[in-house]
Amino acid sequence: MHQHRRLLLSAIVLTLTCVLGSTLFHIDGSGQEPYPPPATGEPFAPINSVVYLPYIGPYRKWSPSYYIDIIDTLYGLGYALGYKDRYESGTQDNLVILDYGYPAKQGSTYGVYLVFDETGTFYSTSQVIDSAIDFASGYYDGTGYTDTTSHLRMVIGVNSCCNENTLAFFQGHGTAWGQAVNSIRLGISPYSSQVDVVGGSDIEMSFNDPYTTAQWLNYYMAASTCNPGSNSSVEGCFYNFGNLTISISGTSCATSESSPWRACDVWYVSWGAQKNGKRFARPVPEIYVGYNPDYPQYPWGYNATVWKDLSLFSANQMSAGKMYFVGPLTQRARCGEGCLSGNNTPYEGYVLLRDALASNPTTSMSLRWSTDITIQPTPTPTP
Amino acid sequence: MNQESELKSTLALFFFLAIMGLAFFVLITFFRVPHPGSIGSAQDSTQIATSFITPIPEETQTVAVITADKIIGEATHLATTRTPVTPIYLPTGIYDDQRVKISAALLFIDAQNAWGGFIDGHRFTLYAGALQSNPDQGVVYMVTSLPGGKLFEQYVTPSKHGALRVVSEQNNRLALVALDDTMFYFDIPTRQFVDSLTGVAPSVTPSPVGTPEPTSAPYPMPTSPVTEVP
Repeated sequence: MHQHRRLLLSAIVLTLTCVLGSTLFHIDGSGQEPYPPPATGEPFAPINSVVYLPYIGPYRKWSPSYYIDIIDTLYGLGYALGYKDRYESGTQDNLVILDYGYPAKQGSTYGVYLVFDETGTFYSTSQVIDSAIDFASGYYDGTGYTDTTSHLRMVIGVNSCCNENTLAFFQGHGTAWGQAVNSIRLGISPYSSQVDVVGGSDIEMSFNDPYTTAQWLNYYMAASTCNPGSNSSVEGCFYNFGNLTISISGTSCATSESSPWRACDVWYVSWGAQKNGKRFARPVPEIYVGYNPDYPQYPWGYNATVWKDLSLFSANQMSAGKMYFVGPLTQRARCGEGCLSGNNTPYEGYVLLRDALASNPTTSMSLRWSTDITIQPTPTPTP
Repeated sequence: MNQESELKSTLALFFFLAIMGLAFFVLITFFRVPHPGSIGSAQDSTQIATSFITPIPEETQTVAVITADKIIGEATHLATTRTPVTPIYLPTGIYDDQRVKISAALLFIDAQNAWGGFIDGHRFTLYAGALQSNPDQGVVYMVTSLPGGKLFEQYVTPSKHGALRVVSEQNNRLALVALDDTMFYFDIPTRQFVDSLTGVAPSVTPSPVGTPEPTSAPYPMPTSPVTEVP
């Protein structure tokens, strides 16, 4: 009789366990919901009621980067990346460039013109700061409780355009951008267990002269509170995600706005600049084109070959050691099968740069990241 | 003896139930997935938001604290509203600078210049030029800023006369000159090429503005794969 009572009580306990357990699992929903759950109701809905599809790529060691063209929807974009990481096995490690377009100024306020909005709207660095913090918090929240170790490094970038602006403008903008990235670093401190930030620029030979470009970086560096890590690492404070389209020669850097681009100038904004005796900058080179049999002198494609040569130039001509590459930048997501300027996949870009660097013991190194840039996707409105 | 045994069993069972209850409390408290819109009242949200402004030192963060932090973080985001971005608009008119060319290149357009203006209260940029994949094919590419997204629209000229350039505007209609001096006129509200700056535009193509919906796949691929060398 007593045994029956105990069995009955045990059955009740087990039933309660199952019911509560299934409730808990329902709350968790792990593996059940492919997308972030849409927000419901006001006023608690996110500012941008959007749902992003998970980003699925063929090669796991790359992350998406974006030309920002909708500045106030970045929480959802970051959330989508975090959500993807949450449901991928293991710990993920992302490098994401947020390219805010063109340096700009209205009155005494510095800011940006976003791509496709350069004829329309000025956004201040305050608005850039808010949006970048939104992206970081979105990523942090998106990874959820099950993933507290995946990592995101954000690169808060502009480009080096354009030479119709004055030198004083770029010096002021460099200072303002440095201060903005400082503010972002402070703003994302609640998420620092998973997210960190550096500044960056898409420095291109055709966008501006080398002297003005280097001045922007110098003023950025002076305003930055970031202290670079070891020279033998990717822990710089500034990433140049631009191009290199000149021959690798010229150990004297530009001394005026009329100076042409030389190897020294690209080297300086990618590696040469120093703060407290440590290298402040690191390259995230555009590796857009692959091998072309018509140009056998570039066995790893033009881009990867010349960047490897620049690293060799750094070690041999500038006595500055090899350059530590953060990783390649590709643009496959934007280009698809076409593109005048090359359409390597992230994997192709990674292999080309890796093999080019490995071809010489002086430049050989492993690459931590790979990222592929495209235009920020238009959010899908929630139902 | 039997009564004593029964008492012990019952006590053990109550003890077991108490432990189970405590375990569930801990699980529910610390292992909830953050869920948008899960906060019950504005008052709750405000309190959470206020408490969130003091970050927890990283070195003391345990998994449980990080978990709670994430729940609070998402609630904070949901509860707080960023000050809406107040854009500073640039003047309406023709833009002919390096930025226009760089941005248009991202859309596979070789732009000559651009027109920046408003349509139905929405800011837009219209790039004028030619397709990168076919320099003879004139094109206008319109990017309209809508709430929450951008609308991308491409319109090619009915005949090929080279790259277009905006020369003037009248009543939301643009005059464009092609490379071989052929004139084209683009009516912005109806999104079509028309015969003149002043004629009545056929109403065959309804304006997408008014029922704005950002395109889901706004970026066209080049019409033919090309590779730049080296």
